[in-house]
Amino acid sequence: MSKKINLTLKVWRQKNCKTPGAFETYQAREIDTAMSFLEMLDFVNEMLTHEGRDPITFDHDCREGICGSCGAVVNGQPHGPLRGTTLCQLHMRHFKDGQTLVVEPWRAKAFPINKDLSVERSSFDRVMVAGGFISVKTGQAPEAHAIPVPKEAADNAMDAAQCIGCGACVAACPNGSAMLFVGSKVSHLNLLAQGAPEKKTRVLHMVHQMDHEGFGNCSNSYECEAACPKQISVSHIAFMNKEYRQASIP
Amino acid sequence: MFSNSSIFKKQVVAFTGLLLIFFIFTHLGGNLFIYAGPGVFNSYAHKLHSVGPLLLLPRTLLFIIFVIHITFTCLVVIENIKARGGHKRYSMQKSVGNRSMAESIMPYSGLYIFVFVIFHIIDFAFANQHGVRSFLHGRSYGLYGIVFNSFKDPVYDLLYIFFICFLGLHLCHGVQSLVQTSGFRPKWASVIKMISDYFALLMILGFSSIPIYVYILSRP
Ligand code: HEM
Ligand code: FES
Repeated sequence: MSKKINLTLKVWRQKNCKTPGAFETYQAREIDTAMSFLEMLDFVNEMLTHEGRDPITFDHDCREGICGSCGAVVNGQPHGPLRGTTLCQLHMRHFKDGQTLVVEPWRAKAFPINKDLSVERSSFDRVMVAGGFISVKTGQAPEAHAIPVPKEAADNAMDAAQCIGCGACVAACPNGSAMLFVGSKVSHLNLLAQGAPEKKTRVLHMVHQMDHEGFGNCSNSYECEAACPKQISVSHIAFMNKEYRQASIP
Repeated sequence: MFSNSSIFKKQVVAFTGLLLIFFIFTHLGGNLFIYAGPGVFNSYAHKLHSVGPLLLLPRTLLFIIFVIHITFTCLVVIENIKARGGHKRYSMQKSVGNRSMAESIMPYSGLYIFVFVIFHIIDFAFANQHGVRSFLHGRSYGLYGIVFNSFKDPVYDLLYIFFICFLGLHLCHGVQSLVQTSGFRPKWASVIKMISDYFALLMILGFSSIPIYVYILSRP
């Protein structure tokens, strides 16, 4: 059963990465609790547009929790208070009538603000370009059973492959570190036979690019794991630490 | 590429941290000789010193390890402040997981250890072994006397224990953290966390027991 609630929103508004931003307060009335967080923002934006004001910019695409486009820090927590969920899959029934919600963009040096809640995450793309791929021969698809993969490696690689690259790990990390993102990608590819030929260069190049983009170092606070909408384990960070050490020793 | 990467720096911090832990552990072992009385305690201190110039090597090594640990953590901490985009980040900051207090204060507990170590070295290691501070009942008791006279003072004891608690907090996060940084995270990671906590507690109790013991002993 859905019901209607009233909320006070304090939303970060910023024109672009060069001009300083500030919070603006809006009253979101008659919010249906069956709405997702993004639908609630759409609703508020409609109101703002009617009033002739600039709507709130936020990133979104699939709205099914699979693309990794959406995300904002709600009351100090990336993707809001519900664990294992993206912002688009967070529904308003998890909030109380009369509650105040502080909505901020991901904040990190490597994620400059585009506008309002939208941040530039192309630093992630450049990390992927540095080594997040495998090289295969073109031609016919190989026989699926030609390369046996141990069950444990397959399971771990699948867990790591769940990463949708939303950046919540960076937003949650007290050091703005991207180790969970990069660790997942390294694990996903290095664990499988298909990724083995470029195993060493992959981890070296991706970590190099990660540092170059200005992400921080890992202090093992494990906030990333808790914030990850796909609940990816920090064991992938440990795996990357090991892979990196082994790749560095000639 | 290897030399200035984030992971390399953290692994240096972890490795030097591990070596410092070995030192702390043996240091506590040595200190506990105080329970055996002035004779044994002084002869332990004396044996250590009688190695003479040979002691210079481990001491220098220890000093270098300490300096490397501090240098690399400073680099790491400065980078982290820059990476999160300034000091004040979110207007509302809330831990998502169970971020431990010990982890969040690592730079501060480290700083407290640093201040303490400097004072501690001047206070005990550089003290005149047969000076006035070593006198008990009108006779020099060597290092034992110095330790005894210092720990007689309850204010000194409380301060000492205060600093030891920061060492404990540093180790509480540090031990399990260095395992993760070194690239090991077995299924029983929670056991490692537990070992880390108990090790830290053991160090706090071990080091703090000495001033408490001396204080009680010095009461008439
Ligand atoms: C007996 C002395 C010390 C011991 C046994 C020790 C041990 C450790 C250990 C094991 C770690 C964890 C390494 C990792 O996670 O990879 C660590 C981290 C750290 N240490 Fe120390 N340490 C000592 C002294 C110091 C001092 C004097 C400072 C600073 C002035 C310091 C600052 C730090 C900082 C800031 C970290 C966290 C780095 C990070 O995770 O980002 N430590 N220490
Ligand atoms: S919009 Fe695709 S994950 Fe939220």
